[in-house]
Amino acid sequence: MSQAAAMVGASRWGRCFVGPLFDVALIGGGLSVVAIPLLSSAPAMSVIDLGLLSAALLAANSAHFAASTVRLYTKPGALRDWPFVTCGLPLAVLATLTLCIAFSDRLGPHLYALAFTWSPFHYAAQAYGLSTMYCSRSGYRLEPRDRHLLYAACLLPFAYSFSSAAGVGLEWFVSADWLASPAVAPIRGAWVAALGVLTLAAPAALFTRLRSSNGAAPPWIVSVLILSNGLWWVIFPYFSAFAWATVFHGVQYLAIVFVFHARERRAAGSVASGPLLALRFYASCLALAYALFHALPIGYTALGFGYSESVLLVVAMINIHHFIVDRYIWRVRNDPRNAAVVGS
Amino acid sequence: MSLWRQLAEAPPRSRVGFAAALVAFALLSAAGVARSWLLDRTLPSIVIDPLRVGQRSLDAQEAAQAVPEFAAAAAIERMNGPRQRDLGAALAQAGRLAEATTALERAVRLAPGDADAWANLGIVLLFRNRVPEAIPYLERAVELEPEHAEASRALANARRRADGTAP
Repeated sequence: MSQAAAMVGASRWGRCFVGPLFDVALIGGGLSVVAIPLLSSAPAMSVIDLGLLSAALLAANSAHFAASTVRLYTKPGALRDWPFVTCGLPLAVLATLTLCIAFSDRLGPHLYALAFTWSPFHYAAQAYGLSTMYCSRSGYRLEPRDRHLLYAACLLPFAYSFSSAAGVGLEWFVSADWLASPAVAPIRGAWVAALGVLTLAAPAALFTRLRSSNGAAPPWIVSVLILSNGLWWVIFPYFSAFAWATVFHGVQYLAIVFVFHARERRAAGSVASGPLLALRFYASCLALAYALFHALPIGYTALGFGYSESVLLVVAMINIHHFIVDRYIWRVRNDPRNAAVVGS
Repeated sequence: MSLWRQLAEAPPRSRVGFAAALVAFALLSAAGVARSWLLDRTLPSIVIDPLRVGQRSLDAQEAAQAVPEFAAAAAIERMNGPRQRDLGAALAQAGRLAEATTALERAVRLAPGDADAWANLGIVLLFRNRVPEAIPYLERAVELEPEHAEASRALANARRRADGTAP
């Protein structure tokens, strides 16, 4: 069957979970492309204070970190199937975190650098995972070569961030002074600029390539997913708007996790409506996020540690835990429940 | 399947690991809420600001207590210019001017567009009577932010002292 025939029933955006507007704006990250420049504009900045931004971060970004944990422990059979990640990992994480806070001057910078070097890779992996998921559910078959190209396009923002970020990525491994030396700095600058251009050009190039080689265009939402992630890492940091990108990354994650949770619950026999199931799930995420990001660091000060290192390292460790848990909970190949939702 | 039912079906070793992590997390979080309530009569703030406690010490004129907080944040985020600038300011308030100079030199190297960092470095050098060295830093601060009142005042003062016209 040709790609075009297989995609009958899917709109140009792809076969959506809720509808094109919801999927493209929230899961695809399309809303962020429009909203972040507006939120970072001078008139908006005069209205948005630190409290409002913090509330948005808690509601979206912090809640999304908690969502992976809530999803892990609400997945039927998770404790039986994944004893390490459900039972061993939390203990290991708490022990490592405590050790890093206790020796924050020596271990802290490395834990912090690990989290924020890994973070853009996690964003890239999320864009890739969502893209392949939309291709699959839209009946758009990706050949191995197509998957490699898609993966490369999704990884470009990671490569950009790894090469350009201060104190993390490349600068974690190589002396920043050496990178800033007159012989190296221009080469690094040119490399970063080239990666920036490639990152922003990749969605259109990939779309054109897949359309010409497969005889049909991939779902448009794939281009939006790759483009929005590229903008988050390449364009928005220059406008000091990266905090908003993390909010929209959280929104993207929460939207898809709500869909999966509600559909799994309903498939398991729940009679509650989808929005109600999502709301209950979100309430748990919010409560856990508050405990993790806001109560836990002060708990460490009760043990006699400093507040600064407790906050910074708790945030870093929650990131790392989230990245590991995500490797398990979103598997489609060996998880019939996830596969059922993708195909539904 | 509820978490508790899942837990009942999990192997005993897993149950122990999970219970230990859960108890440790619950105790630490509860301690955080209790400490916040006892100290401030509020729940933990939703603003994630690693320098909140250090800043509070600075505001209370307890700079010596603030320095370790600022130093810890600067050590972890070692390539973050504003963190080095804040450490430099805290060290300066604590009277540790040589260390403040080092931190602020690092801050201007990491964040060359930060007018506050240039101004603070110039002011610290003025306090150390290194007037000719201070002037270019203060000039840079004013160049970056012409309305920077503190830098402008310090620059005028530095020029008077350099000319020998200062009282």
